[in-house]
Amino acid sequence: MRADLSLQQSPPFSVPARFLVSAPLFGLLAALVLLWHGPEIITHRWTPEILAVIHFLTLGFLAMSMLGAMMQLIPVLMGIIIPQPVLFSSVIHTPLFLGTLSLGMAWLLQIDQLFIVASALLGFSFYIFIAVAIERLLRSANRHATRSMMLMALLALLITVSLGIYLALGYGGQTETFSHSLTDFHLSWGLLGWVLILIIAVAYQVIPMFQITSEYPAMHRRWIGWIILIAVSGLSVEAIMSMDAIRPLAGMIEPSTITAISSAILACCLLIFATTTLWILHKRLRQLPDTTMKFWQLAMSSLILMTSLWALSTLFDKELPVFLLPVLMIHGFAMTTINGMMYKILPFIIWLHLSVQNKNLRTMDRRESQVKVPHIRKIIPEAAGLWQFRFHLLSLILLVLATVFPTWFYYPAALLLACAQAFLLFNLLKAVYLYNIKADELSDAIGSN
Amino acid sequence: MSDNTSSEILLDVSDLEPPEPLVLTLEAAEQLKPGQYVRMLHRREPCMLFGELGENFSHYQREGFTSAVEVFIWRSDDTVAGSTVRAIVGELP
Repeated sequence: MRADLSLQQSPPFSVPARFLVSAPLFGLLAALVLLWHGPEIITHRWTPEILAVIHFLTLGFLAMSMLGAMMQLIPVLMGIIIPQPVLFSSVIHTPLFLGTLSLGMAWLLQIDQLFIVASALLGFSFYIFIAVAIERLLRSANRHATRSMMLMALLALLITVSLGIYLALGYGGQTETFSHSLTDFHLSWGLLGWVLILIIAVAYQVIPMFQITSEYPAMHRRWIGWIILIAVSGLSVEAIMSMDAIRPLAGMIEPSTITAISSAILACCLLIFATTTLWILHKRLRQLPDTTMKFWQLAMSSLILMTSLWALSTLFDKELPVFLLPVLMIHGFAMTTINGMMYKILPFIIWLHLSVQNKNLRTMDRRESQVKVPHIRKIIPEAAGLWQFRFHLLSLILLVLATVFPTWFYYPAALLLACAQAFLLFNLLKAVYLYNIKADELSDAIGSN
Repeated sequence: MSDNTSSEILLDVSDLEPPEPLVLTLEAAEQLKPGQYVRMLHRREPCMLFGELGENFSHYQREGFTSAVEVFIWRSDDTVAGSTVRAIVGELP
C-alpha cells in the first residue's frame, strides 16, 4: 500500500471520538432495558423490548463505532480526506444518536409515530454517510483489499438500512405489515454483510499493524469479501421469492437449495476468517501480553462456536435456543472485536493529535512549549483494559447461559453487561479527559505566542 | 538502534507497535550528523513516515533482505550521505 500520508490528514479528534464514546452508552442502555423488563422478554424473537435491545446494540454500539472508525480510517488509510469533517460528523452522528433512541423508544413505549421519526433520522444519517463514503472511496487511488471490502460493506449497509426503514415504517403504519422473511433478509445483510465484511476489512489493516503479525494470506484478502457478498445475496433469494411480484418465477429456481449452498459457503468463510486470525495471532512476532489480542481471540472463538452450532443444528435439524446464535454473533463476535479495537484506535488517535500539535510548536520554533505525550499504552492503561475484558468475558458467558437457562442467568447476565459497558465508557472517557487536558495545555502554549 | 559504521544508523523497528516505529525513525533522522543516513528495517511500508519527514529529508525504500521493507533516510542537503546511499542501492530513481 502506498502511504505518503501525513499526520495532518487525520480528522479532528472530536470526529471519531464522539462516535466511539457514544457506543458504550447504548450498550449500557441495552443492559438497563434488559434489567428493567426481566427474562420474559427473551421468550421469543419478536418481543418489542428485545427488538429495542437488539437495535441499541446493532445501531447504537456497532454502527455508531463502525461509522466513527470509518471517518478516521478513510482519510488515514485510504489517503483521501472527507471535507468539512466536523460538520460532516455532526450531520451523521446527531441523527444516528437520536434516531437509534427514537427507534428503541418506539418499541419500548409503543408509540407508532416514533417509528416514522426514527426512519427519517436514521435514513438521513445513513444515506448521507453511505453516499459520501462511497464517493470518497471511489476517488481513492489506494487499491488495498480494505478499500474494495469497505465498498462492499457500504453496499450491504445500504440494503440493510433500506429494508430496516421499510420494516420500521410498517410498524408506523406506512408500509405493508411486518414480514418475517424480510426481517431475516434485513438481519443477514446487516450482520453477515455490513458488520462481518467491515470487520474483516479493518482486521486486514489493524491486526498486522497493532498486533505485530504477518499479513493475512493474499488469497484470503482477494476473495473472502466477494464470496461473502455473493453468499449473503444467495441467502436473500428465498426472501425475494416470497414477494408477491416475484412469486410466479418461484418455480424456476429452488430457493431452499440456494439458501443451503449459500449458508454452507458462509459457514466456511466464517471459519476460515476466524481460524486464520487465530493462527496469525498465535504466530505473532512479539509475544507480549496485550488486552486487544485477548478481545480478538475471544471474538474469533465466539465466531467459531456460533458457526459450529449453526452448522450442527442445521445438519441435525435441531432447534437451538432462540437467542443463542444472536448473542454469539452480536456480543461474542462483533461487540468484542470493536471493544478490543477501541483500545488501540482511541489511544492512537490521541497520540496522533497531540504529536501533530507538538510538531506545530516545533515548526514555530517553540520546542520548550511542547507537552509530554504519554506512551500509547499508558493512555488507556493495560490493567484497566484487562479488567474491563474480564467483565466483558463474564457477561458473554452469562448471556450465553441465559439463552438456555433464563431463570437462573438472565439477571446476572444483564447486570454484568451493564458493568462491562459502564467500565468501557469510563475507560474511554478517561482517555478523552487526558486528551482534553493536554490539548488545553497545547492551545495555551500556542496562544501565548 | 545501532551504529554499524560511522555513516550508517541501523534502526530495526520490525517488531514495534505503532507509533513507535514512526517516533524512533523521526528521532533518528533529526539526530543525523553530516555524512550519516538512517537504514530503517520494518515489517511493512511505514505508514505516515514519508509525509512527516518533509522536504529536509530524502528517502529511498526497497524490499529488505532481513525485513520486508528497508528505508534509507538522509538529509536532503547532505551530498556525502546521499552518495553513500546511492552507492549501496544503485542509482536512485
